[in-house]
Amino acid sequence: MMGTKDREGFLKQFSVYALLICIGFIYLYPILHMISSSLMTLDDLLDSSIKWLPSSFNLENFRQAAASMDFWRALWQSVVLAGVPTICNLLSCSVIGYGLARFDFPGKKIVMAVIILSFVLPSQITMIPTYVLYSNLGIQNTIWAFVLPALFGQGFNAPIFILIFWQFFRQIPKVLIEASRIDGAGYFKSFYKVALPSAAPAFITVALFSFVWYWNESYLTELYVHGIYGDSSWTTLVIQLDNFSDNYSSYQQTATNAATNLNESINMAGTLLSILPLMILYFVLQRHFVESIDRTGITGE
Amino acid sequence: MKKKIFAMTAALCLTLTSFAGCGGNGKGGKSGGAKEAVAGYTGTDTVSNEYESVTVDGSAHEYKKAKDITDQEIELTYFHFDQDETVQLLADRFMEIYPNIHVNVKFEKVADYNTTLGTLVSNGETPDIIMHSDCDYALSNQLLADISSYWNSDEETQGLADTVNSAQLGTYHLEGGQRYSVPVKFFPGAMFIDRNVLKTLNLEIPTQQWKWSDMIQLIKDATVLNSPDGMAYYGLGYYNRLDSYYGIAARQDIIGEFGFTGKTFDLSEWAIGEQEFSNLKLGGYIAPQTETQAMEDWMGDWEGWAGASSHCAVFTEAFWTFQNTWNTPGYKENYNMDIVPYVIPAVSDADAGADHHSIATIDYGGITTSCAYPREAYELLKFMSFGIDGWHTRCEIYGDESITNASGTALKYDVMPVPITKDQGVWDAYIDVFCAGMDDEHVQLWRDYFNSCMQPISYGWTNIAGYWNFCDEYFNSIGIHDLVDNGTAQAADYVDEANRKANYYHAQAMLDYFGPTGYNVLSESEQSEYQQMVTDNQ
Amino acid sequence: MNMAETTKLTRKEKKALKERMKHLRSGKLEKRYARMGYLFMIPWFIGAGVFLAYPLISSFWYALNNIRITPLGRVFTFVGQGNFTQILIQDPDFLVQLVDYLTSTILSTPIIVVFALLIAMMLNMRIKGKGFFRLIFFLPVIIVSGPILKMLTAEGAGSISAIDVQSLTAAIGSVLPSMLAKPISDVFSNMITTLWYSGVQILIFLSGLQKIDKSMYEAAKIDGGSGWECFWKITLPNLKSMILLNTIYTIVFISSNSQNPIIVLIQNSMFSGTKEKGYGYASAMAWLYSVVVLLLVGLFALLLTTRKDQYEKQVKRNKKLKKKEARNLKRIERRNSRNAKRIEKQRAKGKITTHTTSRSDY
Repeated sequence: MMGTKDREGFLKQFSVYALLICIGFIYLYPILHMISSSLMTLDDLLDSSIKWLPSSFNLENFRQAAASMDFWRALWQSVVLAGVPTICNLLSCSVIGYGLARFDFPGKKIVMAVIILSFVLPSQITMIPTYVLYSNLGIQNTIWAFVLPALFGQGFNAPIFILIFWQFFRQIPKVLIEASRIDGAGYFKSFYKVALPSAAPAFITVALFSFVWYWNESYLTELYVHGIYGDSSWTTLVIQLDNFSDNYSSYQQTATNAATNLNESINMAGTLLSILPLMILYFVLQRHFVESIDRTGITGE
Repeated sequence: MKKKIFAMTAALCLTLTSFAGCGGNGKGGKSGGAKEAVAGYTGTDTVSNEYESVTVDGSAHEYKKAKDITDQEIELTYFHFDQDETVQLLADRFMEIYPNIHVNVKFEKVADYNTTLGTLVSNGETPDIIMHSDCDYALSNQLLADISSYWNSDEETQGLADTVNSAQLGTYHLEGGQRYSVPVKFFPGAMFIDRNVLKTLNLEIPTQQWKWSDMIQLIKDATVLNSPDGMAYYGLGYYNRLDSYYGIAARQDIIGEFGFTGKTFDLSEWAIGEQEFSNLKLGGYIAPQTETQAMEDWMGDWEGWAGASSHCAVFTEAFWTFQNTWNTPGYKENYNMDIVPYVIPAVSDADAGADHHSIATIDYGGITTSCAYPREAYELLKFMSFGIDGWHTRCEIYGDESITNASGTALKYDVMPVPITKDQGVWDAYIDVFCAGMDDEHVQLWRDYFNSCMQPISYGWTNIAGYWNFCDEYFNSIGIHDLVDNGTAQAADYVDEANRKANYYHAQAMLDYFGPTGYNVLSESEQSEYQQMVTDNQ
Repeated sequence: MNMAETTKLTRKEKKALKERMKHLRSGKLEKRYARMGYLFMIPWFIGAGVFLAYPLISSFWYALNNIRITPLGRVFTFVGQGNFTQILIQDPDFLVQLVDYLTSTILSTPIIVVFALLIAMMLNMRIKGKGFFRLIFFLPVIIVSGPILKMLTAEGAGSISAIDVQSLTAAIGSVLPSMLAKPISDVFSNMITTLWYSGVQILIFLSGLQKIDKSMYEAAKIDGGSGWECFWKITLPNLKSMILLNTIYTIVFISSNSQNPIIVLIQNSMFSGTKEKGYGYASAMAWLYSVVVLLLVGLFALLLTTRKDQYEKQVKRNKKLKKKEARNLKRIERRNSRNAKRIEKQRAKGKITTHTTSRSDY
């Protein structure tokens, strides 16, 4: 009896590992590809016998990429431009999500529909009025163009954050909150004393997504904050990275394969540099992701 | 209580909305309307052709500074999708010549260009000079101003490639000859030949006077599937399709794609080229495309490219592929290729012996209708595009390989265009830069090529109103290329229907863009003519 | 019909009744709840008023117009529903693309969600190198929105070159009717893209799984529950709201992706020179599309929330009962006052009749 169970366990374990490794490789592949080609020299790129391992460890591409990206300044500004709106998102979306999850009020369904609609409506259509609006409010080309909307639950992808909080707060057993109310806590007190701590995973998830999405957004950052005519001093790593994409590759009549793209190594080095901070952040956060839950000790019913 | 809250939010929404809405119109002409010039500005509406000589530090060239340019402090915005570093340097030089003019340069990728432009225009931040690839967006929204008076009075415009004026590149085939665009970037069409392949296969090397049929024969002769070195040779490695080339090379009265002769289309010549190309494809004379199984089988590399195979004779790659790729040190060392340029051959004997039209990639630019300083903007646009002074500056920039783009490549290798002016001084400087490091034989080959490629005809969407609508709504939505390529349909069967559609969309667009609801520059006879075309081809 | 007993009520009784009704109509607590709800929603209301209403209303206004955005000002020509009818009746691409979109979304959404759930559960197991695997599996979250995805799609890494897609398609085509075969083989050929799209969902599921009390599984195990049973009885019910969330997210992500053919169509018509097209036409298309997506989200939400928990059901039933009672009481009161008036009238006329008058004369 024990034996069969063990074998079953082994088989299960084996298939789990096999699946994880296979799919993991798919995810890892482009990163590995990038790392390997970012280390290659031009000769390595052209040599069709060299696929993965560069002939020498060439860090020159990174130095070059960092120099033309103005790395340190862009890094600092990227952190601010992604971090501040993220904090605003956390504040506003958690409050709004709680309001939706905990209370019934007339018009709630309409509010939900509008939230989802604003998420679904293609941004190409709302871009012009939004730009005109920001310009009229005088917040265009300043960080306020990101901060103010985020502060009022209208940041990038804010609907999904509201929905995440909504679902998390819905899961908190009513009893817990009611208990705190009986203990004499007000609505707000029960919100930040009971609800907030139990939604720690939601906070970390939203923080991560929000930061990553603000970080990676290049077009809207350029339009609203960087300024079309570059009139504000704001820039981000991803915007700087755009300088690398050779403008001829966007022409309709060019073969854009790797063989013709001589800047590939530096491109790749730049791309890696632009996501490196995210990887580090995420490496740190994902640990907290597990620990925070153990610490709060609040679990579902 | 409930109602109160609702009413309050509703009121809040409304006030804020109306406030935002009003703001759009209230703010000092920000939302539309021509920009106001500085007080006391008096611009001229012609070019006086009077200049004074100016030199700037670090350049041996003597610049001609126009005397009829304002001496007030003004600012011009130049919004482009050209090579950013080059344009920036050109703007710096322009500001040295005209210190009172501040040039604000802004780059946007081609892919996002129209989106950003539309956003800027709708917020009343229209740039003074814009570029365009397809002309329809710019014309249908009346972005471009009529600059005929400057163009016609400027002596320099007579020294450009003949077709700019004769084939009406930038005037949109109006009887009044109104000019809205000038060619900014010019890349002539070319057939690149790998001479080493021809030598290996013992084939005769053609001359610049070759004919279309010679080329087809060469492609067929150079296809050797079981070659002694074990890797198949192919006649043609294509990026641009041959039908576009053939449609222009067929006859000299054709001044646009799809057999456009100034008023109407006739796709019958195009159909011959399309069918020929399809036959070559089906006959196995064309090298595999990248990321196909056939490519994997041929070069052993899924992402391979025929241009790096050393086993392909003729290429229809874009012009800049030569400098960007084949002429780079890495390619020259790694691949045993000897790529030389040939003019796209003409179909008839008579045309092949003389200078003849050939298709070219041309991006255009123009001055916007809201620009407050059109005379100065014209001077800047000229400097950035076809102007002699601008081109001397460009040659200095391209010649200095220490100036690089963001990824460290010298600007010469980053989509360097070709001068569209015929000025000898510019061409001497350009050949020096272009052919740096080549032996005399190759320099001569390039000189011959450049001499014969100066009759460009640009791609349809850049220069023919409504062309893109035709492609969008008919040609591409049926997928004619694919149907003919895989042998399920004959190109000739589409000619009649396509003619009707193409004429319809063109006439409709001409009425929309230039008729009473647009620029309103059509004469009555033109209007009725286009109206007739619309009704005839509906 | 038994009016006789109910029509005659003393004042005291009436008052008591009123008091009771007041209580029933809407609880004080309920009212306060609604008020608190609005209070928490204030940021959103302000935000929606300032940042959402204007773009939303303008884009809808655009949809009713034909627009040219010229440097000398925007030229609006009001066309009413013209853009919408044009799209639905004359545009050959839109409806075709819409049907394609609907089939592929309906097919791939469950695949992505189930896949994400599976991965999340695996990552939540006791396995060696958990941290390492998590690191890899969250990579898509970082990558899927950024410059790398552009590179990936540019290099055609979205499809699997190793699997012979053509023969797979042929095999599927021979078994299934063509209407189903195409979307299914599309799903296969875009397998890797599908995998890439599930990073966010994995993370959301995992954060949901973290919240499930481990002791529940232990208790179940002691009771002899198998892993299978645990999954259906513990994991799934606890993840119900996460499944809904991920489904909504997946649909919205697929729909608003810039590679989506309908988005491309909208963008193209925005810059088209054709007289009927332009910003107005594109806005109309975007609104039509958004409503369809909204309906799709609603459909999935409905499917996933039909089975409510016992508690909610009871609450609903109670509410219904209360409403019914309130209605009854109201009716009775109305009738009473009517009868009283009538009696008063008749009394005044001096015709005192009994209460048993038949109602036939009404």
